[in-house]
Amino acid sequence: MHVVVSKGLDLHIGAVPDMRIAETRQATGAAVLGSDFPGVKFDILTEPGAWIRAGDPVLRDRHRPEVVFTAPASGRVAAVKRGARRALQSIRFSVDDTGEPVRFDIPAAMDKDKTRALMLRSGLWTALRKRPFGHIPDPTAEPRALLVTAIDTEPLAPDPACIIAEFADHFVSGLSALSLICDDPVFLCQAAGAGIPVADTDPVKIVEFSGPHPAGLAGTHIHALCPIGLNGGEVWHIGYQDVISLGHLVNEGTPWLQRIVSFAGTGVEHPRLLRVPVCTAIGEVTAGEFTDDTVRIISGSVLSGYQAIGAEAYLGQRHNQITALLETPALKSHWWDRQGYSTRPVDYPGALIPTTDMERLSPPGILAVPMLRALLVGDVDRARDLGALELIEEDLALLAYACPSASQYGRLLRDVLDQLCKEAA
Amino acid sequence: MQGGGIKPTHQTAGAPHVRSLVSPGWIQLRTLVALAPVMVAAVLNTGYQYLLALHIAGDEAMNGWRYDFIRGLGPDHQYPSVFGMTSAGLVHIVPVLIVAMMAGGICERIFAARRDRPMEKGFMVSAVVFTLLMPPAVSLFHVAFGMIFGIVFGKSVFGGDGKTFLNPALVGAAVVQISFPTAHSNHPLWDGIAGYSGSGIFVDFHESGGGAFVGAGIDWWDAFIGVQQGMLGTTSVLAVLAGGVILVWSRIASWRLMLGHVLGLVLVAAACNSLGDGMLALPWYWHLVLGGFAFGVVFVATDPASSAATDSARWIQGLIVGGLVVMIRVVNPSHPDGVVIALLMGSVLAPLVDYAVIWFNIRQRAGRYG
Repeated sequence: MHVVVSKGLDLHIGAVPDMRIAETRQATGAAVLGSDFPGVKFDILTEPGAWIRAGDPVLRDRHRPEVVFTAPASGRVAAVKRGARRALQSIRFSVDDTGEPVRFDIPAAMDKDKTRALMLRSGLWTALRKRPFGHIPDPTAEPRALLVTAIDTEPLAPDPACIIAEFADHFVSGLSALSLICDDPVFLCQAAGAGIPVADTDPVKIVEFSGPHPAGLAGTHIHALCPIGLNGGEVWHIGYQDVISLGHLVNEGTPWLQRIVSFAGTGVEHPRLLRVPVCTAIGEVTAGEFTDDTVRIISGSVLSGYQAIGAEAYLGQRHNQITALLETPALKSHWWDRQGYSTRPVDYPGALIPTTDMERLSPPGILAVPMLRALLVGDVDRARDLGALELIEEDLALLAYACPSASQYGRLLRDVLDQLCKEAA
Repeated sequence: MQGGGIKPTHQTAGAPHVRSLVSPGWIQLRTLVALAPVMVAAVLNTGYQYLLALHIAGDEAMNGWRYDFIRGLGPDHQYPSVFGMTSAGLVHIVPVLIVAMMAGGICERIFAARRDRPMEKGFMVSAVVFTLLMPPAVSLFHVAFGMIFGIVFGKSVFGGDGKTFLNPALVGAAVVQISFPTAHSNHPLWDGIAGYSGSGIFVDFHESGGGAFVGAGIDWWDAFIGVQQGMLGTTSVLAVLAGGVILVWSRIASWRLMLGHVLGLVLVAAACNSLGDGMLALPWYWHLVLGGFAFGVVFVATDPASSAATDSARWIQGLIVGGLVVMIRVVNPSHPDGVVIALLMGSVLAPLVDYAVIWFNIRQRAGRYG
């Protein structure tokens, strides 16, 4: 099956990274960030100063105690940071490589319950996300479909095909394990002609997507393959590096504790792929690589990532890239220039002006301007009726990029989703 | 940032980390660039028409400060040169533009100060569009009145640039037309010369049918290029098209909306043709190039803030308003051109059409997902 995405925009920001896995970087810091898991209330299972091994549970979902979050590295718990209303901001670790990671028992014959239990125990369950809401799915729920996102169209993203080729065994094993956890089809979403390996015996449907960003977003895939509504059940999706991690777990007994990230952007001297520890301290693994002292370092892409400073100076759980942007000195534009961009926040918010760009950059099947207006005024019901449940923050990033009002539609959408989630409960 | 206005909490530096350069100022700059060819055509044609009128009517028929000014510059009306046309055109346009800019700017400044917000610059585009919608011999008092009304009641009371539901320039032009009908719709365009009225071509057509064009001495290409009587900036369809290309290429104005207007006009004009003679028989290709239709569609109707905001609604709005222009022209002799009124109705209609499109989308979605 082939799906062509006709509307969208590929941003060109800096040089495309060299798609070979260059080198391994180590760091002494790592952290699990609360903001990576919207909708979760954490119970903290450890305390500062305790020694832990990679794979030990450190956090737990208060409402679903079987969902645990495991330590990304062996070492000592350095700090537990809390933000507004005592919500967990981050739990930080001082990495000490001498500790062995926890080895999980892999059952000889895997079935649905055993696979789910293994994923829960090892913390890999938290890699799954569901629509609507973009939360971690319920361990007992049944999705209508499970999507593996093995395509990435974010600006400066790594090429999933290159990375999967490097870890083909693990990826195939991970995909086989995933196909056990749900009765419904598993879709492998890949770029046209990517040729991602799949075991012949697995009930995996391969779908190719082509076109500009957002062709690589899970929201686009869900809209094309298995659209959802308030009463339309839920769809799960998972990133390709998490599938590799699951395969690693099945094959070797430990989750894969590294990630391949693209390291690129206007502030990077040699854009390339790096092999870094999961949840690592970005400042350490990228030290000395910048062309300028004042770059903005972003975990994730320029469209949907967060700035890696302060409590959030760590690689996001689901991020496959580190971007460094030179701050543009001033907003300069020529009247003939259609592609220019700026890194500066807008001084003064203007109105939402419904230029024809809005329709071009809207998520598929969404009426862009009515949706943005509903978000701006906080009209939860209207936003839901217009399809907010199909979306998460990243789906609105292009609109936020283009809108002259410079509103943060992703955050507004999250508020609406939180409200809807509360009402649905 | 000027003043201490409120900054919403969702306006901090977060994702996305880059923003397109499309800002209100960028959109206004683009629109001004798109208006440039129309301005040039307006200056040349106005000057040419004035010198022509001067030639036909003779010096003794002319009076007023514009005449004195142009006589002082001394262009030759027997054999109009580019200099002559330009100077005569500038004498007509520049004072109107200056008055419109000042009137709009002062209103804008007052509102900005009262609200403790930075001054928005949208009034400049409004002033240019408003100027181009005025007849050449317009009274400067009317200009100031229309512009102030347009900026205050067409824009500022609704919150400023991008928050309007009517185009401020259109509001201004409409209020001038309605308040001073004899001075505009059927008024001689040139001080003191009878029989040279712009939209008067429609009046002539009402009275004498197709012979009106022969009588006025214009053929279709004259009208397309813009060598005809009319409002300051609405005569040259060619220049308007050039501006329209810039607007569509910049993705500011919607080509769907423009094409919708043209289609609506063609359909209704064709239907009228089959119904009878007289004004009903005016063919669609004449409707397209006469009056303010082309200018209105490209620069006024497509104002993103005051037109429909979804693609389907843009088609519908265009079709309705395009048809409405023909209806007003054909059946209502008191508004010979009809464009300004039709566009106003179109802007008022736009939220309703949007509402219908949204309702349909919601119903469709509910049917799909349960």
